[in-house]
Amino acid sequence: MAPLIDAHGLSFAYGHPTRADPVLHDVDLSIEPGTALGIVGGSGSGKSTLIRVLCGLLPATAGGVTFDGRRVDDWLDREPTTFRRANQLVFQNPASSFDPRMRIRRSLGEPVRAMEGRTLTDAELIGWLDRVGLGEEVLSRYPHQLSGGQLQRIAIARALSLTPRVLYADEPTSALDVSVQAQVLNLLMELREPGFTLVLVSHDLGVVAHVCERLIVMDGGRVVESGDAAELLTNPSSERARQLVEAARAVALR
Amino acid sequence: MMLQLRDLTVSIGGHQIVSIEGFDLPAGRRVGLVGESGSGKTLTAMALAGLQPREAVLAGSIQFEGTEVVGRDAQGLAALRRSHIGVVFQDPLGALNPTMRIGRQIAEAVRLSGDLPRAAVRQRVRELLEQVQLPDAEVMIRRYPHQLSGGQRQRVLIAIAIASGPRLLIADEPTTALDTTVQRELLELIVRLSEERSMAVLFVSHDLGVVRAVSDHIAVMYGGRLVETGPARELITRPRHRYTEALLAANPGHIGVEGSSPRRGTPLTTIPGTVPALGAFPSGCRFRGRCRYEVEACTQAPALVGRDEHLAACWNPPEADGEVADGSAD
Repeated sequence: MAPLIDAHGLSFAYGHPTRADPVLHDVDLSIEPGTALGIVGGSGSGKSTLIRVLCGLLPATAGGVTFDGRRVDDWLDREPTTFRRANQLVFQNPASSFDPRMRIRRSLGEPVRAMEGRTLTDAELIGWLDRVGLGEEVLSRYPHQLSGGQLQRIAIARALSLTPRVLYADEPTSALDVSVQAQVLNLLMELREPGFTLVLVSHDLGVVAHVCERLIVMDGGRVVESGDAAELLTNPSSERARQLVEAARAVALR
Repeated sequence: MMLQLRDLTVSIGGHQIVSIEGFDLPAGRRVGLVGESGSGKTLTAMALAGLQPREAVLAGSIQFEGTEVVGRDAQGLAALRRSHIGVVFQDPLGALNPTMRIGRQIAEAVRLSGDLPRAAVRQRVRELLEQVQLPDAEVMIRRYPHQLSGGQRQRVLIAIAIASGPRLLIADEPTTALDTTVQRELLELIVRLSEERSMAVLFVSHDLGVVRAVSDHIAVMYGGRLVETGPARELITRPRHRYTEALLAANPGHIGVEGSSPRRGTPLTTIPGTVPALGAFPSGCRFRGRCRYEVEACTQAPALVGRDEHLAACWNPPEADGEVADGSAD
């Protein structure tokens, strides 16, 4: 199958392109449509930067990314709206993903208003909320009136409202309690359907192992290992992956 | 008993946030205090050290080696902490003075625990850095907090906390902001220090797995109450409270020796509803309304009962053989 996302020799540096220390070095990566890919690594390993480059929020300083066979910079030049709609992100802290002065009705409708120039009907809004297990009563609420788990589900609903082909989730449950984390992970797993691609970034191997069938391990801005999740966790071949697996085992419950 | 709580309540603004009938911590034991946001675990831990917020009102009794903590004045509390209790917080950057070199900050803690000549203080600082496994003491003492990694800062905080040779170390989410590999090293360090010094540890965390890795015993809090306490392995394999059982089931795939979770992609068990707002908890068992196994008796407050140090406050506990109990009342 042709990959949906393909990166070759990808590098990225904040600041001056040739003088600054690169955050990503020479990353090769390919994601087939319909996959759930987990990206793991420590802080500063480049995992968040990588997904920002893949979805076009940051420009690569060397190498390139293709999406559906076309270069991302080409997409952004010619059909930015189509590309942005197809590539949606959900971030770690749901409280800062919402404008505190806007009711959920307006926040939830914002992407469609911005990208398609139309207002979502009540039936559509309620439909998206239903998809993430919430009722219409949240529409009239402000963010501070909702829990972290509810807000994260609304953030996912908002991303889904553009019917993306890829959902990038950057540590989506790290700020949530375990019982709430379970609700959000269940939701992400329910969204899996043919052709829907999920890229989940997490420092928690337990989370990634539960949701994803493929894994890449990052360290110092490089991909140090990639492969089938079960295989990689049972039999890590790089030193870094082995350390991460052992650290996860040390705090495993059984 | 080193630490003994009796009928402790902590109230803020007229709301009773914590209410614990009884809890004992023997010398040298490592106890993990587990709970989700709003469970009252941090407030409880801080009250033990006399570090609760100013507006909090304590009632009941906390005895540390026979000395009452509740109602003591600030000076008395400071003296107690200086000699017996060390505290480590989640955010090491916020707990260190950004304008002071590391060596001086540790030396300050050393001097608080007794009048020592300068050379002895310096020697003690080096020993402490060695004990928390920070190499190159000479370089380290000249560093400022911003020049250290998160893991190194947390080691410095532990050095400060153990400078006076405390009998109890209270650590509140000390590894939550750190990488998993750094977390693992710190957990090992805390266990080693506790064993070498026969120092008891109260380890506060939302993460059962992390708590399990350091503790002999676990205490689970929900809604300001202690709902279950017991030996760590037993509490995790055979929980006797429905809340503990639910928390365990909500945990995602375990990285066991056999690799990834055999349950990958299958739904995790969730806990219905959300934690009620302060003051909105139901009467009787506080987990009522979110529990799948509610019975009529649950409208009455359950007592923390059991045997062999494994206690639970549950009217309809999970069966010992793991069979799911009938949810209906007789």
